[in-house]
Amino acid sequence: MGILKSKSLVKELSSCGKKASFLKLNEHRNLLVFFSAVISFNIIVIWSQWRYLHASQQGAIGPLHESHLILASLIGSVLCLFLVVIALFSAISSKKVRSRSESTLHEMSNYSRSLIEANLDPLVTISPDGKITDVNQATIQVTGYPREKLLGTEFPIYFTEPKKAREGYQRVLSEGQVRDFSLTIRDATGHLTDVLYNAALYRDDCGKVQGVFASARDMTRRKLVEKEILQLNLDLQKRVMERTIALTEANERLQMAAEAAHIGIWDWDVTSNLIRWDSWMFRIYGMPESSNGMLSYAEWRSNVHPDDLPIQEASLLETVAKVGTQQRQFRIIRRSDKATRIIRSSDAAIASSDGKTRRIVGINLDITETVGRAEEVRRLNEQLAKRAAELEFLVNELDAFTYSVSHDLRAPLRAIDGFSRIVEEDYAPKIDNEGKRLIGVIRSEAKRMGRLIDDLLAFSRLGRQQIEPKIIEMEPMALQVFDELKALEAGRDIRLILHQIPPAFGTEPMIRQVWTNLIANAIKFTGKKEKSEIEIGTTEGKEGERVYFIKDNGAGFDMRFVSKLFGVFSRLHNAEEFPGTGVGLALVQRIIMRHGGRVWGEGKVGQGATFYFTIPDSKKQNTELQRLPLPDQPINETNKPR
Amino acid sequence: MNQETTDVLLVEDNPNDALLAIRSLKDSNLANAIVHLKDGQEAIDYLFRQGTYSARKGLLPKVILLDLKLPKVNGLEVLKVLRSNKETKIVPIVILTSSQVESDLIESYQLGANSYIVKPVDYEKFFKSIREVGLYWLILNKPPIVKGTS
Repeated sequence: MGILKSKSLVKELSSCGKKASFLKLNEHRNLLVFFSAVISFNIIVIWSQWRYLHASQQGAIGPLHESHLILASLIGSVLCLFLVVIALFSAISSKKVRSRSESTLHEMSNYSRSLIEANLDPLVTISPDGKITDVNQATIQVTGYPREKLLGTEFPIYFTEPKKAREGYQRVLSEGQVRDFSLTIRDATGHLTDVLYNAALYRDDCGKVQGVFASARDMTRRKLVEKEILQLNLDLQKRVMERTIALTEANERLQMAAEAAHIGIWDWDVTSNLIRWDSWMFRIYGMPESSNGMLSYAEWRSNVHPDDLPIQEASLLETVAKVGTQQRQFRIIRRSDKATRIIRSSDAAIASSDGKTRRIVGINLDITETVGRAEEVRRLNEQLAKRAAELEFLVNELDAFTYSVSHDLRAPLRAIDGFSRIVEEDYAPKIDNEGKRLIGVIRSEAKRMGRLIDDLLAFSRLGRQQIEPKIIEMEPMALQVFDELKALEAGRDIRLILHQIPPAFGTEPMIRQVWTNLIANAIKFTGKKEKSEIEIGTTEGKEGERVYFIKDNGAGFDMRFVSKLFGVFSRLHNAEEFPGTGVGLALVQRIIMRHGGRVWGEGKVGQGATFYFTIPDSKKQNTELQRLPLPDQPINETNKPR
Repeated sequence: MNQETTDVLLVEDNPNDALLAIRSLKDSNLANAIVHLKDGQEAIDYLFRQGTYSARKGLLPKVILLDLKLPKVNGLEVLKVLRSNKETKIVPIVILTSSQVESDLIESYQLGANSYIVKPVDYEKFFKSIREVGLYWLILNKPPIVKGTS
């Protein structure tokens, strides 16, 4: 009975799995105990029977021998019973262990299944003959077929390359595993999914190959992601490249600008107290360039002019403390030639995240020449202002002198004229006709000189008159002047062609004087023509400037003497031909020049003359002129003659 | 000098101009009593009866023809003195000068001149100017009541 039970136990527990080995070991022990008990029992029985036979043969069987036999049987039975008990006990404890292992196995199986199902990768088991034996949910999804449809079908038929798929699992069978075996799944709808297979054999407890366990990895998304990553990488590379180029360019520009401007750039690391200099810094300081472009703060300090050092250091410390920007000016003693140079420095403190100044970056510029030039310019300006003041004084003196002389000349002229007249009146009977003619000459010459003096006075006065520009309606002004002058020339045939003339910007009485003198000249010099023709208008000059012109058909002039047109008292015609003092055009020139314009003339003897003039009237100048403070007094009070 | 009415007081340093002015006035039969003084100080002494003229008993002139450019005390200073005195303040004063400087003109009016005549070089124009001044100030114009101080 014991044997049967043990046999069924063995049969029941017999398995090739690892977990069964423990039970197997126990079983062997039980059997050993059991068989030991049976053998011991038999040995004792045989030994007892042999003793009994031996004793009976020698006739020594007595009550003692009987009791020996009984005792031996008893001992054998007890021993046998003991061994059976042990075997039974052992069998019971084995059964307990087994039932515990079975429940663990069950849990583990569930766990594994869940794990397999939870896996996003399609998992599949394939039998050695290539049939699908199990799939997970991911496989169902990727193939588009239900589990029932998949199970038992040929593994390779779900791939675009069935041959390759077959090769794959066959290689697993032959080599034990494959890694990253590339295949493409075609699903129920024909959609393709690139996968990588990793597969290995699985065996039973006895080591017999049961099939292939294959895990696919969907490469489509990975490929997409890889593609995206690749694209992102490319974009990043491109951006880095662009940014690098931009930075390089910016840096180059900065370098070139700094180079061209002779600006030195420095970067002071406050913590290490080292300063990085660019090559211009070394040139500014007249020092040989250090190999790494670095130098210590102390080294910089040693170049600064001792008188400027305290202020500079204090200022630098302030920059460090405040984290800001500063502009400084100080002197250095240039290392190469011991020359004192003036440096302008601008710098900015760069703070680290804790708000403390970590670096100060700045520029140095040698402004010695600039300062020198500014000084020179200032000195020259001073000189110029002094000279201008002197000149103005001289001009005023000259004006005063001219005025005074002219003024004093008038009185004797009046006397000459007056007394000639008195002689003429009081002594008329005593003077013959020739005498009267001669007195007439004296008087007319005196009057002419009076006019000369008046013109000279007007000319001199002009220098002291203020320019007070206003908008002047040139066309009506020219017409009015012409009408006034024409009225004095009764009986003459004078025709005016007046074109449209835009307004100008000037000092009205002065510009009126210009028109008066020019129109009077035109009338005067056409005096010998039967018909006087005067044309007034504007034309466009160089760079679009407006040029006023007045053209006549009069006597004209020889262009060889054009340079003498505008000189004071300078005339191109004699007084008998055309009376005049030679001041008119000089006056015109002075007025136009004081307005910043130009005046010139063109002519041909006997064929008339044309006079041109410009008055700059750009908007800019207008506003500038209007901004000038106008004097309260219409005349200059300084240097007035008495 | 007796206590006669002075028609015109001419203050002029240039004898020729003075002669021409007096002749113009007389030829026009405008003034008989013309006093000619040769500098500014003399004019002040005359009008305030001081110095050489302390014994003068005449009245103030009907009009003063005053040159600006005068020795010692110039015309504008004379004008200033006369206009700052209550008595001489009301005497009509005509500036008769060669000066065309605008500052002279304006200052003259500011100091209280009644008229400003620029002497023309041309004698005929000069004659006409003087005659018109005489006609206006001695005949046409009604002068303030001018009395002697004594």
